[in-house]
Amino acid sequence: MTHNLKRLAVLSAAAVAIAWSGSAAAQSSDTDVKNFAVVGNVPAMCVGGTIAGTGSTFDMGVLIDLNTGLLRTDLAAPPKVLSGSFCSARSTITVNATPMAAQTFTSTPPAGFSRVVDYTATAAGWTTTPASFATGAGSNPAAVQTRATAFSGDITVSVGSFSTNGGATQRLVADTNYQGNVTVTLAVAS
Amino acid sequence: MKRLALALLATVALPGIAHAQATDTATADVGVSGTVAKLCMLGTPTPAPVDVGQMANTSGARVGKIAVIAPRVVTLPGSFCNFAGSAITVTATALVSNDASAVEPGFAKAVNYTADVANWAAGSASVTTAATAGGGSPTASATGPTQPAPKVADLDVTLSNFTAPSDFLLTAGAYSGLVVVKLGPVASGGD
Amino acid sequence: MSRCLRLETVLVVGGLIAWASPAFAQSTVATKTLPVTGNAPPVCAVGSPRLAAGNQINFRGLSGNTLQIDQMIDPTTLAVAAASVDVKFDAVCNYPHRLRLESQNNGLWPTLQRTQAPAPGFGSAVPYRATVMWGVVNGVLNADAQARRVNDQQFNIDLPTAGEIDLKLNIAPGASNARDNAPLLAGDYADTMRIFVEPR
Repeated sequence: MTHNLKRLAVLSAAAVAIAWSGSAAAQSSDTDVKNFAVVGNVPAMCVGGTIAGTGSTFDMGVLIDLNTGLLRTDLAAPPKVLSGSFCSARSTITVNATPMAAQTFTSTPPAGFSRVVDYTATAAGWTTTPASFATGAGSNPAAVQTRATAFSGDITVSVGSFSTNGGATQRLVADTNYQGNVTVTLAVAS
Repeated sequence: MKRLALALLATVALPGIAHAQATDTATADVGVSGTVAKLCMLGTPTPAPVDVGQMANTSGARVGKIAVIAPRVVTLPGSFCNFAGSAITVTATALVSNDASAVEPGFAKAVNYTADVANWAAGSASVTTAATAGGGSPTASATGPTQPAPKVADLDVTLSNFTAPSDFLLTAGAYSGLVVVKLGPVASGGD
Repeated sequence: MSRCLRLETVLVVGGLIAWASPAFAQSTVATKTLPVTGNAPPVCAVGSPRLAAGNQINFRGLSGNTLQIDQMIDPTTLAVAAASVDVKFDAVCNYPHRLRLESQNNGLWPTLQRTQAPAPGFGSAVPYRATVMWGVVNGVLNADAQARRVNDQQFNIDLPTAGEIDLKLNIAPGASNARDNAPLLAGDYADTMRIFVEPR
């Protein structure tokens, strides 16, 4: 009886093996390969840098010739450097500036006088052509410049070409606080 | 014992022999042989694909650089080999930006990581990608230790240690990479 | 127990998953503001005098800063002859200020001080009238020559002003610090006019 059982067991095993190989006829390899994708994303962003040391204000000091009352012709200030700015994608740099205006003398000045000083602000180093904005100009097409690639670098901001709004023969009204603002904007471009 | 013999016969369903009884007097021997092929199978990777999400910091001291990305585990359940002497080979391709343009100085367009396949042999099969900032040489491969006996197991692939080459700023966009797991005999080498 | 057929094709799923969180939108734009400042101090400046053409009577002209009367007296009556002159100064004040007109002697007085009283019936000083125009101001200083002293007038100007200070001096015929048309004692007569543009 034991012998018969053994034979039956052998036959059973063989039958199982045959059935098995029949159903797996499409693949019978000693190697298998599986894979899966790994994905992620990095957002487009622009981060502005910082100005070292000198602070962010261009202080032009005394604006007029004390003998004539007219705007000085030698107004100049050292440029300021924004370090550590970057954009992770294509970007635009935009310069905007508001003219220097007397902050206390806000009424219309009398004939022969002005309370506004125009100037040109420039941001260089980000794009081939620097972005620039002249406060006295009717339009400023160069104010926006595009950079086609991600970039990290210094932006040098400078101010110059000061002129009296209304004409060079106009004098500035006395005011201890003439102020304008330059803004530099980095933005991800579409 | 009788009952056991009858159960075996029912499973196999071979005519003729099913009618055998403990008291039959005529016997014959039939030799049967067969071969069991060597076979390895890997389970379907789950969950897949792996989306690690946003990879760069948007604020703080490390803004623009690679963020801390938590490890991810992908399981290949019920993987098996029915023979002795098998091993896992894992090939990983770094996450590289889908944007084909060249990368600017100070930027990287690739994210490297380590892929570690555990639960097969005594030690895991582990590889770390070494793509350059420009996305060059993104793929790396390694074979793990030999598993000396047939085995069935749920393999765990752990992705960790996500870094940017030179810790550069990352360019914006969608990034994609790939993990390929191969299970086969140790001698086979390549496929 | 059965196993299904497996595919060996690569499964790659790409594409950017959009993050709409506002925190990320903020970091797509970075702006820095750099102020530009300066100051214009209060300044007044007055230039050198110049004669206004065509407005001179009996003046020789401006020599340096001195206005020279041509003929001081009528030679037949010895009374003062009429004279007038118009002098202009370029000036500017860029803040609300004050114009002050000062006569040093309050009239034309002899340059040599007399120790004795003048002879009766003679005039010893010549009064004159100064008018000044500057911006909104139209003012008068009467140097009446009654006493030799500093005589000044102040005029407040509320606005910054740029332009010309126009000073007219007028000596009436026969003017004198005695009666009208009195003869004038011999000698040199002078006065100094000063114009101040100053804080109030």
